[in-house]
Amino acid sequence: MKDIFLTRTLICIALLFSDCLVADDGNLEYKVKAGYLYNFTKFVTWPVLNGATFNLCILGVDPFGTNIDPIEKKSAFDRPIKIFRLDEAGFLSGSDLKTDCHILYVSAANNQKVVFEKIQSSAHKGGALVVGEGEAFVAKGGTIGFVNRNGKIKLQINLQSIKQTGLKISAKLLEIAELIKEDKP
Amino acid sequence: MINKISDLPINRKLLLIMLFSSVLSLLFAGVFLILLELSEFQRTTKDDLSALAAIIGNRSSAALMFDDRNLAAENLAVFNNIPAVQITCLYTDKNTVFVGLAKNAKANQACPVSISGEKTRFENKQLIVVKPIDMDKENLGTVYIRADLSLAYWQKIQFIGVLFLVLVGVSLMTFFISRPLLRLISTPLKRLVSTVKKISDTADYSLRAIKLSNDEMGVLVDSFNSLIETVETQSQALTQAKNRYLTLYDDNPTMVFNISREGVIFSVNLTGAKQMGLTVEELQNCSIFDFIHSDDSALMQELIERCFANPLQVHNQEMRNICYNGRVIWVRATARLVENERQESSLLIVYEDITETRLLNEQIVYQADHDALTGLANRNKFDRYLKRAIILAHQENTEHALCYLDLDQFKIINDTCGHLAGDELLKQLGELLRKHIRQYDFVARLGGDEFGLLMYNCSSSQAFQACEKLRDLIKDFNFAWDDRSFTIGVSIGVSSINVVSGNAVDLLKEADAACYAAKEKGRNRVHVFRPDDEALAMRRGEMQWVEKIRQGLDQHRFLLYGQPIVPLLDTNEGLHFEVLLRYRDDRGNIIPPGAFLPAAERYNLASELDRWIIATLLEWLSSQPEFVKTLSQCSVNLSGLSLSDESMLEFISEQFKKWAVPTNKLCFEITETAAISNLSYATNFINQLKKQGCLFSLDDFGSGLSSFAYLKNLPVDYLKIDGLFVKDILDDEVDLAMVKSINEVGHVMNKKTIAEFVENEAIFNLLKTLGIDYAQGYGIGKPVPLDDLRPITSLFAGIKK
Repeated sequence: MKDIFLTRTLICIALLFSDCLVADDGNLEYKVKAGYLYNFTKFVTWPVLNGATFNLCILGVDPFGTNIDPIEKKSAFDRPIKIFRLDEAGFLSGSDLKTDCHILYVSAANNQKVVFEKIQSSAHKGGALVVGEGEAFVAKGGTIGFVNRNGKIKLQINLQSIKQTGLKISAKLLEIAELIKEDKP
Repeated sequence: MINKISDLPINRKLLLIMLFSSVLSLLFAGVFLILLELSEFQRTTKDDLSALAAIIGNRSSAALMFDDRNLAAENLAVFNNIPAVQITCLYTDKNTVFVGLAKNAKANQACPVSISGEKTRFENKQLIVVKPIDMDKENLGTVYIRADLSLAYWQKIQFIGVLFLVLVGVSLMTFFISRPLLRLISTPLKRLVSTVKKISDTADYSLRAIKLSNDEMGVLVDSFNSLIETVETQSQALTQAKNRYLTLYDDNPTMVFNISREGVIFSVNLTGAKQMGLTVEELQNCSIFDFIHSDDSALMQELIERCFANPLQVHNQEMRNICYNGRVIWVRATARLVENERQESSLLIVYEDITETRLLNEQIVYQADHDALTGLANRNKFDRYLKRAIILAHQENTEHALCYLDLDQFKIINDTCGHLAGDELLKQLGELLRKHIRQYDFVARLGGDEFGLLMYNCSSSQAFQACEKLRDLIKDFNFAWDDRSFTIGVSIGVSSINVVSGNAVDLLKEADAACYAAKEKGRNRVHVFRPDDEALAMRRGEMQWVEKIRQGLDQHRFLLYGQPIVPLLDTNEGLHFEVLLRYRDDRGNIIPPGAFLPAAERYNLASELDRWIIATLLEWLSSQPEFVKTLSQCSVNLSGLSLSDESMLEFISEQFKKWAVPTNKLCFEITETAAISNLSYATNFINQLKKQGCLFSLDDFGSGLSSFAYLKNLPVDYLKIDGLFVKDILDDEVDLAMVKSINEVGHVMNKKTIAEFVENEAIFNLLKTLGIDYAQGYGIGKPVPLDDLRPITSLFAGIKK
């Protein structure tokens, strides 16, 4: 019962109020994004899933705040979802890399270029779905990026990146997303 | 309904069956087809749309999750290709339309605001498909489709209609094609039925049904034809038999009636109707009593009652029947009870016309009793009436008169004018006598010119006066013949019939004698016979004896004696004797037969005595076998009456069988008078007994009419010479000559002679010299009881036997 309530709330947030509320309410935007993060687990298949939990890592600045907390009550691939908030410095130094991140959210506040470099050089490269925000995110090497189109949150997907990480992504997701090619450095 | 159908002709019935089955199968097929087609259509439409909805839903899951309405709308646009679909909507939850597509923008063609509670279903002509979109047990949204199937339904119905029309067409075609086939069944049946009808209407069994096929109908026709053939044969045979019996019935020479107990005629044959003088139809329901002589109605009634009382027997009755034209016929009705088919009893009566026989019979009876010339009764009938009058006189102690009339000058008329005149005279005199006697008196022509007259309850004097009147009447009667006139006289003898009168012969003798006396006195007069006192006394004595004889037979008063007969020549023949009868009176006196035999003869008891003698003698002989051995001959007297007694021969034969005595030792003695007065009877009697071995002797020969001529005709063995001649033979030369000649004649005729009344030795010796064979008499041996009979050993002390 609780699940249904939550889901409805999520979808309500994601679908109904997005148009009118995204612009002036950052909370709502992140609520939608948090929901979308969860939705990714339905369309993306991870090649290897280690550990007892499905780990969602938020790198550096956390734009969600408490908006994402309800996701911990859900599960993916029969594993409870756990949120890890990673310190950027720690991540870049590698001290925080002990944790396996299945989804790594890189907010716009981070220095995304550095992060991508780190990701590509780290062992995390093959196992994590790197999700970020902003028009340049995917072009720079992110896998999925949230972009704002006419007040609506749309997806951008980097197929190249997906191939590199070994993740498999559903065509249905591809259908609703913009496919972006990575800028050649 | 079924009844109405069952009365239809078979052709119609077959058609109806075909129609019924076709229509029914069409109907069922049609309904089934519609239902099947519709349900199949609905199911496939539903399945198709549901599947499509599922695909669209699945395709739209990402759009839903990531809020991409454009994509969702694109997905839904697929339904535009399906003409029936009018609205497609995508709901995030039951009350929230995510995307909606409608073919045309009518108000009712918009997505419903809420689909809560909606399910996939058919509503009117619409199909509503509700398909939830699920992902990992989470409901993402719902696809809602509304399709309008009316067009599709209409197409379906059109299709089914066309199909149905085709089926109907095929059925009709089948129906028309199969009509000739039906005729294959109905036509032979129709023809058979028409033949059957024709046969039953016309009763013409020569008709045959025509065979059209070799199927069961053909077998039926064949069977029917053979059946009709059998019927025809039997019908012909029946008709022939019926005609035969009808001929037998109608042409039967007897009249056949079937009547009810009350006499109502049910049926009659042609012969009967013809005899009655009516037609068969006219006779039916008439009463048979209408045609029966009124005097004989009771006879008919009695015959009917007899038949009902004794139904198993056939009953007869002769009666008179009156025909329609009044003719009377005599019929012998033979009747018996019969039962008709309804178990009702009726009488079958056969009338045989016996009129001729009857008339002939009557004529014969009449002729036997009547004189053809005068029409008066004849002697035969007169004798019967006379006997009856005697019995009447004896029984009721009445007195009647017997008159004997003899015409005096009849011979003269007969001789001078011829027999025709004589006959005419007799006729007229007969008429005259009949007219002038009392109503209940009786006149008869006894023969020639003799008439007899019986006057009942009439004393001698009354009779005398009546006869005087008759004499005067005849004297005054003028007989005219050929211009000549004759007067005639009559002599009348009257004899009284009273309680002491003897038999008819005696009475006639008396009357005859009286008539003779009248003629003696000078003709044309009446004479009454008067027996003298002595004769009357004798009659009275005889009357007393009648009773004594009857009682004597009952009380065993009669005894048998025997008197020996010896041969005159010295031959030893053994014992030879004559059986004699004795009567023992109350005081023990033995009475000789001379006292009672005349009475016995006169009053018809002689025959009864003879029987007693024969039975007693034979019984005695059979108890004495030793005696029989020594016996050579034993003779028994038989009276003249016994000779004419028809049952006597039978009686004697029975006695012979009963006692088993050697018949050749028995000899019957009959008197000459008795033998001659009944010569033919006597001859027959003698011959019959001689066949059984018996011998006969003629008794008292020489005393009666004594004619040697008769002797030739009588086959007797012995002649017994009357003792009256023998007794005086020593003194009377005539007697000697008589005995001598009788002996000679007897010997010539091969008969042995026996002399009676041999009283002394002189007679004995004379007889011996004359050559007589046997002797009997007191001189030889007196009669002694049978038990005392001994062979004669010596005669007259000197002559040794």
